[in-house]
Amino acid sequence: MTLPGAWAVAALVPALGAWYVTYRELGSRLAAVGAALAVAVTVAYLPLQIDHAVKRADTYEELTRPQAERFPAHRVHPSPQVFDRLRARIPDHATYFLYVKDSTGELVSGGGFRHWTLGWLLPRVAVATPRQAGWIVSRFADPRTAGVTVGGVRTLAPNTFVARVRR
Amino acid sequence: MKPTDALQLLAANACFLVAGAGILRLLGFWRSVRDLLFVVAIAYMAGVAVVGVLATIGLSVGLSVSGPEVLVLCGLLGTAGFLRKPDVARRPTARPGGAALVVSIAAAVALVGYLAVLLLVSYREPMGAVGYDGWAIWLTKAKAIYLLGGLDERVFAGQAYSSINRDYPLLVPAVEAIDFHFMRGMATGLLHLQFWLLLAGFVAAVAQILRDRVQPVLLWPALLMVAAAPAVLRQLDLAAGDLVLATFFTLGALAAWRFVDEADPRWLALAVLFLAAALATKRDALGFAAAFFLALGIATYGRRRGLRLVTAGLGVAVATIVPWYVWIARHHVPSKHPASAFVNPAHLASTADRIGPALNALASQSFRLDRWLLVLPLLLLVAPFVVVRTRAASGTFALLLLGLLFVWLVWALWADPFSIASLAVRGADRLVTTPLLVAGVFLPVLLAELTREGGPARVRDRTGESRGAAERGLEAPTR
Repeated sequence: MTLPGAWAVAALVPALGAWYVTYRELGSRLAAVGAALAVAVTVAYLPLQIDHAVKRADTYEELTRPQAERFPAHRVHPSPQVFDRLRARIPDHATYFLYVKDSTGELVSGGGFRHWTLGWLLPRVAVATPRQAGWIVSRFADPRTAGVTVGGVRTLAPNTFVARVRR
Repeated sequence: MKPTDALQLLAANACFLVAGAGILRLLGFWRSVRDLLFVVAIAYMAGVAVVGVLATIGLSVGLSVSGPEVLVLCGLLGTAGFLRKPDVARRPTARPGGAALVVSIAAAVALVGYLAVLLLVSYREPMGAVGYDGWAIWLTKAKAIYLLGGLDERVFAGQAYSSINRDYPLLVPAVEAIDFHFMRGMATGLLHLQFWLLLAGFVAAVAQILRDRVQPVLLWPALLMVAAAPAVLRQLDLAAGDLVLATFFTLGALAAWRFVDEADPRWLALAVLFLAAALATKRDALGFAAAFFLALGIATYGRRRGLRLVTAGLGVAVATIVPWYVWIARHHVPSKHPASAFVNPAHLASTADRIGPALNALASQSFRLDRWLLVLPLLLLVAPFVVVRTRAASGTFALLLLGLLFVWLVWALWADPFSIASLAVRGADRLVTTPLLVAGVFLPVLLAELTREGGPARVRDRTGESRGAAERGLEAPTR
């Protein structure tokens, strides 16, 4: 946040006023200096803060409730509707294993994709191994290579799959 | 966003207020409705604190924090206040005259206006617009509590959820889950409103705790500076636990300061409640609590009854968080920040090269003008004069506490197993929130101490007469 020089100078006026009034009222030079510096820096920064906040409020004015609830999904997947498709496919209270690889084929935790899936798919519960899971949710990985027998592999978005574990 | 969702969230917060009002009446802070107006913000914050702490305990023993459970709890706490008729002696409030009144009102109006702007942002801003932890960690836990009916060990002890900091206490997710129960759905887009209510409640509570101790011409400009600090807005956007921890801890510190200065056990009880809430919010609070009780113990050393009360308070605060730590121990939930690392001399010696970067990271965040304005520099400017000139125990307590908080943070960054570079970049800005809020609210307190040193402190009391500070009642009561 950059402070415009002219505004910083203008903030000195109320600061001087605060110094004068506080000193007259309380008789302590140091207390007056403290109050004046607090006023100066606040008056200098407050308009920037308000401007910043109002611009952000304008940015989100048109969001509907469903859009607001899905907002982080846009940051973790190029096709954010994939999470709704996962919800539609996996029944409530079912278990699933998150199977995510990176571009080199190494298993990874999944970062934002993992975090958003964990929260969005509740009350479906993630488990630590494919053997405990009823479903496999995979990204950049073929569910058939997860180490369990799966059926009905569905592609929900490019590189994002869901499959049911066969017992 | 449906307006009814916002109203239902407000209804949940009204329940917190009822609970807090009951607790405050039981402690003897108000008797009539008129008295309540002078402590209503403290009551609200105390209500969130007590419900949050009891919800954490309740979740740990198998309850679900459903709407009916919360309503019964708040009703019981609210009526508990009427078990006794307290004697309430209100101290006179400083009333500035003439130009000082104008400055005080201008700062107060600017503060209210700024909070109104933040309310607009909070109402519109979705979770996840800024930052990551708010939705990735805290919100996921809240959803799990709401949708799975309490602490489901498949989530809270499940290895698949290791990335959501399973060992962190539950106050924030519990309060969010209570909001969901009242909204009968997960209108997550409204959760910023809950965080705004906590911020506004905090600011108003600070004003009410200090109203009879700090002159308005000092209080309002300092409070405005703290609230308008860009770091506070950033923490509000993040909707994570750091700001909540900082607000509860800071209120606890202010209440403890009043206990040190006035030897009134009601303030210690309030301090312990807020500290218990801080402990139920984040693990970082364990170190802050140690600093808190150490500073309080030193400040009350020599007062036999004071030290006994402080020890009892420590016991109560720690007892409230035991059920949660028993739950995580019973379910073998490992910590990302193992306690052994903090006290292992071999580990500390081998990582001593982290001290310099840790100090650098904390100092650079704390002194950033574009984050915390002049909060810490001003406090450091004033502090030596307060200690040398007034020798007030309360001033010593404030400075000691602040120093110990920073010592703890350096220790935490030193002992932590994570990369210091990553902590310095991503963690230090949030870690300093608590000490900087403490510094911000103690700034007007210390400035007011300077005016108690016998100078010609001219202020007006309720009758409008100009008197010296000692005559007017801003002096601490004699013990």
